[in-house]
Amino acid sequence: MPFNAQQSASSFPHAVVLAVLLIVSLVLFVVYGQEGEDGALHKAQSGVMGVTGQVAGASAGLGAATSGASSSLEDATANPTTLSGLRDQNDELRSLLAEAEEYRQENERLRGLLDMKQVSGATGPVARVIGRSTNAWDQSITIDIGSAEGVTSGMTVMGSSGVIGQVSRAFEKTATVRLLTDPNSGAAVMVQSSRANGIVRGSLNGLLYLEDFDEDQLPVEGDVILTSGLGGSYERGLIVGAVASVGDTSAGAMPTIVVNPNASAVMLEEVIVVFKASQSTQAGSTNSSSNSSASSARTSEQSQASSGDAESASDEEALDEEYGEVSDEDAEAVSDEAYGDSQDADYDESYDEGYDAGQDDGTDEGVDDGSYEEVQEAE
Amino acid sequence: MCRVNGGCGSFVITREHIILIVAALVAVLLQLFLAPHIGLGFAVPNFILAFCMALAVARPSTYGYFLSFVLGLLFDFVGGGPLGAMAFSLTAFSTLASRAFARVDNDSLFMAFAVMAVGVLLANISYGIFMLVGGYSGSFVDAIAYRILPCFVYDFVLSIIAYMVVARFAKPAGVVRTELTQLR
Repeated sequence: MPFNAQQSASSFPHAVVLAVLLIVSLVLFVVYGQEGEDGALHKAQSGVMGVTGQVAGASAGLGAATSGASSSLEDATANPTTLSGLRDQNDELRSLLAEAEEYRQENERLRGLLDMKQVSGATGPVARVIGRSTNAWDQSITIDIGSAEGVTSGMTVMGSSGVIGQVSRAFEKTATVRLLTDPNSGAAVMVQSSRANGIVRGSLNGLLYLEDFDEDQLPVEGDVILTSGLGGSYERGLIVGAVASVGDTSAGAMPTIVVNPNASAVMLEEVIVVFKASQSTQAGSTNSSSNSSASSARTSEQSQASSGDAESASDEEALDEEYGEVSDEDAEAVSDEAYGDSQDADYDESYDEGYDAGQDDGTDEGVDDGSYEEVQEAE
Repeated sequence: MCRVNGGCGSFVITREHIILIVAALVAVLLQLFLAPHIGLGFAVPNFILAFCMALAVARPSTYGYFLSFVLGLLFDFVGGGPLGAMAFSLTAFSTLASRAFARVDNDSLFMAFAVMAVGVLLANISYGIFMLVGGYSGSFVDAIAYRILPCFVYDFVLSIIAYMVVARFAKPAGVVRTELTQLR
């Protein structure tokens, strides 16, 4: 069958072929919907997506390599004895400055992730975002680690300030993460203050809604929402966001509760895939980290919140003291070394050592203060 | 020129065919690597849809539904959506657009754009219905407001650009433009 077979309204064979193609499409759709994740069509699609994900990652590397090659070419052709040589040098310096700025920003993002990892007690590798969905209906991102690094479907994924989604498909070297904002996404959550359970769902309009909630324990604006771990889909105790608005409760119907996510995946470049979240530190630590977003929390929590803020501030100072010198001295070296090692366990250890040093001198003792037991007592 | 004999008979691979295949590949590559990065709000452009619709209107007499079926299936495979949804939508509505444009016997730009607009809108609505039927959470009204209409606007603009390119480079063999055609 020629790919552009001439058509004619009166051409019966062409009409038949067209009908066959449409029927094949419908059959594919029905079979795809009926079969499970292990079905042949799903597997074929996963295979194609795995390949395209790797190509997307490779093309990102190709872009960096092209940039590096052109920079090297400029270096080789520069002649400092002439005016044009000086101009070349100037261009080169500009290029280096831009590169240093890029490293500085990367350094900041990685510090944010490290901070989140430390505060939440989560363990797992850092991954780069190498792709986004090619389809408007699918809110997902592709990351550059996969089953070869231990990533499996269902693992929680965090940004620098909270949960962003869940691994929906893991390929050998890449994985697809379904974002919380996807309408098909749902996370079992609890309100930090009342411990009441619910489900946070994404929607077509991009907002997160808190549903399946007990009417007697309605949250108020500013209440912090954490993953509850019920159902085992998300690790327990990780911050999702804060209640942004609670709809009118006078009508008798269940009000619409909108949750403002702490982390947005729009400009995200690196994420943490959570292999395991430390249960003992989660509730207390997320309390301190989420106080800034839950500014209008209940009065019963205000004293706790203020102490948490103080702790967060001292943590920040400690981190600044710890890493400030490094970034001032040589941001490029820090980023190269830090991120270069971030794909393996060494990254965690090296940064943990640095962070532990901060804890040793007493500045970071507050990280795990406000522990889970204290929260329970306060309640 | 190359003659290929197959089970379904024989056909000739011409320069025109090669141009179309290359253009289709470019559309797929743009969809894979460019589209995810140039989304506006809720709308992610669909280069494959824009290309097929532009081709259907620019070459209504020779438009091939097999090409749109293959490209639609490719979109389904790489996009992560239900298989067959875009294949059906593209095949049905690009074919419908090409036949409608051939029937109206009016090759003015306005008519071409009008037919493309309707085709792109119907294809987006069809795909949205497939998504909702396939288990996508959300109401049809929300789907229209937050996905179908934004995507339609983006895809329509792209299809206009694609039409300009296709009409220039992929003219069917043997067609001679006359002054009358240009004036219309």
